[in-house]
Parts: sequence; C-alpha cells; structure tokens
Amino acid sequence: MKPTKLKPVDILVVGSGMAGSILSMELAGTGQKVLCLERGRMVEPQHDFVMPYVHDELKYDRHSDIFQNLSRETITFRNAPSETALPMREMGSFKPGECVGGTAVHWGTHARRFLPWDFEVRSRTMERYGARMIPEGCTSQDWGLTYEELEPYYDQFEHIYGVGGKAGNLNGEIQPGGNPFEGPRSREYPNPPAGMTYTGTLFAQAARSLGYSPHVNPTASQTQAYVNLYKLMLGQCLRGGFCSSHACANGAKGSPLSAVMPALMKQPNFELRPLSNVIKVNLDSDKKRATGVVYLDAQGRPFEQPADLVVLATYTFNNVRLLLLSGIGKPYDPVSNTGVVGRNYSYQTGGKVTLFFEDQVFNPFMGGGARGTSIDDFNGDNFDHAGLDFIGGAYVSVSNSGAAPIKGIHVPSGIPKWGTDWKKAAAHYYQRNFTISVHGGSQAMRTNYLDLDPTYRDANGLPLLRMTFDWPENDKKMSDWILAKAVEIARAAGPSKMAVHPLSRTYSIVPYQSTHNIGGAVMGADPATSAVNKYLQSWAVPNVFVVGGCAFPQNSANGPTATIGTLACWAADQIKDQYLRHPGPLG
Amino acid sequence: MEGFFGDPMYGGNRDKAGWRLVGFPGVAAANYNEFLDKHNVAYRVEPVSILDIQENRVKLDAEGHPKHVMLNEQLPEGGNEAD
Repeated sequence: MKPTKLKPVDILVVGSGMAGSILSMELAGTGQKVLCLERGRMVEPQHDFVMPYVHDELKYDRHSDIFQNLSRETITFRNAPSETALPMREMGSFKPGECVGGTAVHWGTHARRFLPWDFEVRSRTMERYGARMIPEGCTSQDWGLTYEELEPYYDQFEHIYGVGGKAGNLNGEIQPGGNPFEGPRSREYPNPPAGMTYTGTLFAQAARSLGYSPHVNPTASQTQAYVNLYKLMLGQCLRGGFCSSHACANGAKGSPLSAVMPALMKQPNFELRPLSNVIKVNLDSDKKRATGVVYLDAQGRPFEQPADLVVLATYTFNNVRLLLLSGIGKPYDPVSNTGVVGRNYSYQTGGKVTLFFEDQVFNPFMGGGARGTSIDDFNGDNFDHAGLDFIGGAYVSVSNSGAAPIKGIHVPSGIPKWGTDWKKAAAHYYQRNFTISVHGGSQAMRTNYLDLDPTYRDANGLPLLRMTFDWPENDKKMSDWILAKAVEIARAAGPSKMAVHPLSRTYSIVPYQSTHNIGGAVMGADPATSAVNKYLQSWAVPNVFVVGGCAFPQNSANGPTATIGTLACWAADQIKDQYLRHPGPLG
Repeated sequence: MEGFFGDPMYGGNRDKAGWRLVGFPGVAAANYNEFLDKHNVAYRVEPVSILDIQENRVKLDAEGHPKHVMLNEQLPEGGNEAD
C-alpha cells in the first residue's frame, strides 16, 4: 500500500518514553513544530492506573498490557554466533514497555548516577593498569563524553524526576551519610533521602563493621510532595510496593506520565500521536539526509511523515532495529570487527545471597520506589584491581522493593519446591528473609551484538532484531569476586541460614534479570567504532539523532534509566544550542 | 504460584488462603510510611483483595486505598495461624 503523505513537521521524535518525552518537551520550547510518534496506546494515569487495580501482581508482573506485545514483534536470541537464534515468545529476562511513557512507566526508580569511571572505561583502565588489563575480545570504550560534561544534565534530570537522596560528594567535598564514591555533584538532590528500613539498617551495620560506606539509595519515587522543573506536582510515595513492573496510582513515581507529559501536552506546537508504529526512516537519494519516516497506524495503514529533523528515542532494541531497517550507518560485522550499528550490545550482571532469620520480621511487602541501602566500595574502579583478573565492579545492596508473593517468596536451600515442607518454609520465611544483591556492570565484547534476523519476521513482515549474547568471562569473574564480599557482609549480619546464588555460567533469556539492555548504537569520538557522536547525532545522517540506552558503549553497574534521561537532557541542549542554529554535523 | 498467590478475583487463592499462609496484606493501605521505620514489628492485618473491594467489603480512603484491619501485633511462629 502506498503511504499517505502528511504535512511536514520541523522535529519528529520517535518514542514517548524516558528519552522521547524529555526531548519533546525541551525541543517544543524552541517554538518549532514538534511531533512525537508513539507505537503504544495512550494511557492516562487517572483512568488506566487507579487503586486498587494497579495492586495486581498477577497482571502487572506476569500478564501486563503495558509491556511490548510479543505476538506482533519480538527479538530472536542465541548465546553465540555459531547457534541459530529463536524468537522470544514470552517476557522473561527483560520487559520493554509499550504505551505512552514507554518502559519508564514501570521502572523501579533507582536513580544512581553513573560513576566518572564508567564514561572512560578504556582509557582509565589503560592508564591505571596498562593495556594488558583490557580483557581479550573486549570492545569497551570511552563515551567521548565525560561525567564532568554531563553533571549539569544529571542535575537537570534529577530536578525533573524529583530524585531524593543524600549527596556524598558536593563539589569535591565528601559529605557524611552520602555515597563517598559518587562523582562530584554541583548541589544536593532536590528531595531528602528516604529513611533506612530495618533490612537496610542490618545491612548497613554489617557493612560498616567491615569498613564499607553504606548509604540510602537515591530514588525517583518522591520522598515528599514535590513541584518539578516543569511545574508539575508529584505526590509523596506511600511505599505500598507494586512499583517496579507496575504503573503508579499516586503520581509519586517520577516517570514520563507524572513528570513530563502533563506539561508537554499543553505545548501548542506539540502533537503526540499514539498507536503510530514507525517502521523506517526515509533517506534522500545520496543517503546523507533523512526526509521523514514511514509509520503504520493501528489498522496497519502506512503514512509518510516528512520532517526536517528526526530523533529516534525508543528502547534500545527498537532504535537499533530502525537504524538497520533504514540503512543508517554500517551494520556491525563481528567477523571483520567492522561496522557500528549493533556493536557493543551489553547487559547487566547479577548475583545474590539471601539471608534467612528465625526471630526477625521484615514486612517485605512494604517498600518500592528503590527503597534500600547500598555500598559502592566495589563499584567501577572504586577498589584496586591490581592482581585481579577482571575490570569493572558492582554495587552491593539490599532493597525493599515491596515483595509480593508470586515472585517474592524465598525459602532456604534444600527445601522442596512444593508440598507441605515448602508451605511450612514459605509461611515462616516470607517475612523473615532479605537479599543482598550484587548489581554489576557488563563489558562489551566482540561477539555480543545485535543484527537483523535472517529468518524470523514481525507481524508487518519486517525482520526481527537478533540478539547474540553471553556473559563475558570478565563479568563472571567480577560478579563472583564481589559476591564473595557480599557473603562476608551477609555473615556479619548474623542470619540463621544463607542461600548463595552466583551469576549463571551461561546467560539465559528466561528468568527475569533486568530491563537494562544497552548498546548497539553507541556514542563515541571515532566514527569507526561508534554510530553517533558525543552529541548523539548520527555520523552517517546528521539530521538524525539517536538517544537512549543504545548509546552506552558498555554498561555501568548502575541502572541505566537516570542516565538515559540525562542523555536526553544533554542531547536536547545540543540540538537547541548548536544543531538548530547551524544544521549539519556537530563537532 | 500464580493461582495460589494471585488476586482471588481470578478464581484462585480462595478466601486469600495463599496470602493468609504467608502474611501478605494484598492491596496496600496508605499508611506504610508510618511502619517502615519501626524495626522488627510485624504488620499483621486481614488481607484485602481487589475482589473484596469490588464486592464492597472493605472501607476505602478518599484515594481508594483500603483501611487495613489490624490483627494481633505479635507474629506467632509459623506465620499466620489462619493457614
């Protein structure tokens, strides 16, 4: 079917999630005509996410209608290039969203900034330990952008999302009570830190007894009622659980729906068009300029939407897939190690130890909003890696995420998985356990990448994105080494029993791990190893910007969401202050 | 697990037996912030399901949060005796 050609707009943003909503808001401020195309449906919190219906674990954790509809489009997966990839037919390891607000509607709100080291992994590793420390086959690289350059944008993001926390480093001066390992921040968090829970206190006491520096997690679930940078009122978080994987009924979770959309929808020069699935960026005949996009509406009818500037701001997978489907940038080839689109896909590592007690109760259903306590002593390069056989690290934390019983029941090792003994243990231990987790970074590897699947197609007949991924040896060694430290902390907390769960030896796409898929259209200073420059602008087609987790060259131990929002703030300023004044390659 | 611990409105977890077994309160009340800082004090209430609310069996506050009915403050060994 020939697409219906629509009236041109100045700026077209694809995706209305964490990145797309902020970019739309900031770019609408220029007075130009901004259109945001979102493939998910419209959701209005006051109608779609109300009490008590959002407190439904079965629906939101397992059968949600705010996650990507895999019957229409999914990814295919394999562990290694020698295998044949198969389609992911159920949500498992990760849960990309599909509605206005995107995946950030159901994020868990843990809002740690990345460490300064995360942005300069390769050069700082070589500087401190020498080139031999870089693992074989590791393609981790510098971002082309430093923490220092990004700091004002972290600050901006935190004031949009109402992040609560305690500074650990104010302009270079270490502050008591905060995270002493964080990069210097220019001012305090906009909101105070959450209080420390019982499990957080037990963890903090144990960590302190071993010489570590516990601090309360920064959270974008409001610790008090807050009016944000866009003059929107966010409510105080009630810590009722049902948070990560769920939408919030209280307007307390900093998300596109609470912190951006109500202000954005009032902009007269802005239009949001939900149920508009962009399938391609159109290029002119010499492939150096985008002329607009083609999208399908809910009925499958094609439309051509012309635009002067196209900003791709969707989830990692879709951004990379759109670049590949549109022929923007050279696809990555792991054999010759050339090309950029699909390169450096990486993830996030986990390992954990669960502590069981006999006479303490923790009310595990209370919490949510990233309520918890962490140490950063083993994150990034915060500890000396000399003599170790890995780079990178993890933060170690306990979290009161609001454990509901379908997935939140843990029993000690050796208990059968069903029957009377299981029931007895579940009844006793649901209230009497907590977990110390090792939330680790992930280095990029030559054989971990994204490309188009040669066999499987989506409901529109277009090739699915194929993921080729397994845990790097480096990351397994890192996770194991830090898990041993976590077990020492666990022991110091005095549980009656412990269950230690190291990172799996082979990555499986089945159990939920994290929705922290990153890379594939990475930023950098060299067009031979990056798809976009430090301004998130495509090297190949300068009137296309690509913003999101896909830009991270490798993953920090810290969750990516706050940094995705921060990159959106950064990219919006580069577009406003540089690109729109002098359209063309920035630099 | 889904049948035993999901909301009874889906047909399983009859009379909230799964929730009573472990001491899960179901739909959250609006008062948890008052309890989060109380350490090692069990929060024991009659669980509330979405089904209960649809059947008008539970008092709600103005925002639609249920008002939990507290049970005994002490958590006996083995969890809630209602199992």
